[in-house]
Amino acid sequence: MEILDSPFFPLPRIIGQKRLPGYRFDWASQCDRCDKQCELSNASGISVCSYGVNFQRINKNQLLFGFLVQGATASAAQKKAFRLNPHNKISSTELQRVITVLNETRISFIDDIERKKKEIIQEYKDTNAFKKDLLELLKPEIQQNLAFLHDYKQFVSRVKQNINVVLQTRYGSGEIESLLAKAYPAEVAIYWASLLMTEKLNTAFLLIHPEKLLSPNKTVFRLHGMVLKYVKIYNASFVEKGIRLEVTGESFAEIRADSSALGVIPQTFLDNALKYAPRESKVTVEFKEYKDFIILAVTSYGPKIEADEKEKIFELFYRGRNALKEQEEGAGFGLHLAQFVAKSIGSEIVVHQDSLKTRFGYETTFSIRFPREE
Amino acid sequence: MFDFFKRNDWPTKPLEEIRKRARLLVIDDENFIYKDLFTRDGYVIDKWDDVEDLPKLEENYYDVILLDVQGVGKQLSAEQGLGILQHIRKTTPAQIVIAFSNADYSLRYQDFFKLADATLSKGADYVEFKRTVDQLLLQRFSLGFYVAKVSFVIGGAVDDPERLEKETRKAILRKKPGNLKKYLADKVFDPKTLDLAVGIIEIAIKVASVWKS
Repeated sequence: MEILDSPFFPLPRIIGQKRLPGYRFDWASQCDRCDKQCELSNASGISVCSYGVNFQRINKNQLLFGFLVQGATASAAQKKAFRLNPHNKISSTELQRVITVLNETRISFIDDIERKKKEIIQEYKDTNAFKKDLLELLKPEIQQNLAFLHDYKQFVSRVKQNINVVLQTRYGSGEIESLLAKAYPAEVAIYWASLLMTEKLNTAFLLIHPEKLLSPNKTVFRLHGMVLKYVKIYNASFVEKGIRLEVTGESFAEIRADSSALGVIPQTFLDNALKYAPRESKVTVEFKEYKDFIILAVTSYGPKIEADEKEKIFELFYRGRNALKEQEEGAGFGLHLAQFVAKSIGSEIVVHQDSLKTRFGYETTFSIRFPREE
Repeated sequence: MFDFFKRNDWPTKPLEEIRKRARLLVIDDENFIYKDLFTRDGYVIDKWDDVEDLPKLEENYYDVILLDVQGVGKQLSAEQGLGILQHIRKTTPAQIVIAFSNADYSLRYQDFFKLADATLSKGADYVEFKRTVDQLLLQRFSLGFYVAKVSFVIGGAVDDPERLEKETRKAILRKKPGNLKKYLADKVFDPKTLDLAVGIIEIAIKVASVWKS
């Protein structure tokens, strides 16, 4: 409630078109039959109407009215008003004090409102509801724009099935690795490209179907094996680009999560590394296992992330200014989805970048701490 | 060797043998590219572009069915693949069904995947298809699978689940589905549920009988 709405406000006032009496006195009797001069007036400071009654505008929608300020001189109308409304008198000092208190309280009230507003927004931002609402809001547009993904997925499935048939027919039956070992480089490239494309499409599909992120199907599995799957899929592309992909450290611990949703995290880390790391540089995937958690960190070289972008790069469709200069193509949803998934398991992706520029660019590490399954 | 009827034992066979005797069915409106590979590897596999013979699905004629969620069963159900799977589950719960699809993200299809015995993405490697089919064929030819299915159908209607398992096992091995019906008579009052349980036992007996031939 604002102070002007309070029943304990001393003077009569108009809020919008609603008249409220003051607790000290009601509005002057003439106000009941007047033609709303005070409401129509934009004058500032203490004003007087043709009935000799005073008013003062507070802002566009609010004004004090129906009171009589005692002064040295008075018009005939004012004298009449004083006579008819002996209780509506107020000194200019007293009026000034009411207005000062009103303004101060209003400022403090507005501050309170602002603070509360910020708190609510922050609270909203800190919860998944923020992302959920945002995704829901964007969903129809995204779905429309990404409808072609369904077709792409079918095409990619067909490519993958056909390369499977080629490998199985030419090199005998057996596990895929043994067949790839015998296959032509072009066949191997087609196979891995189809896998990589499938994973990229799966990530994009999460934009169309965010419900998958909001209703995860959690199971217990080894993080190490899941990440290595993506390392395997991306390795061929790194080799093609002349980049060394190394895995250090080991982890045998299990985690509880939706593996298909969680895959977005290593996939995004590796995808970003592949996109920005220059030829001949090195990309490292590192595991560190502790009593309660496992840390996964992917380090590569890339464009500078400006100080004001450290958080923004996790926003939906945001792309770093320098990243944009280096690689025009890119949708800017990978890190957002990855962070969303990270938060859903009570964790967070953090980015660290060396301030020193090397010949390959800035050494950048994206890392996340996974809580271990007990 | 094929002494199922004599010794009341469940027959065991190597996977190679099971593969040769098993009947697979793919229901998909698109071409199933791995069909020739399955045939090469000794499986007997049929392919339907749509549901061509519903009674065959209801009779448990096939050992494993690979069912697509979209584009099939439109004539029978607005839910397409899901409708077919729901019908199979109602009429013959022991039928093994693999749900395979490209549409694996939408919540719309989650019921379909949950009802299936296994799920596969259409883009999965052939070896993954083969591995999944093999695992399910081993289940299909295991006594435990049918015992578990009966327990699932009967649910919490019995106080002693171990006894139910024992009775189911006995009914299958002695080829007497009526024995289970007798045991459940004062416990399960829904005749449909009773029929389903007995139906599972009859299928188990039929599957075991395959080894006689």
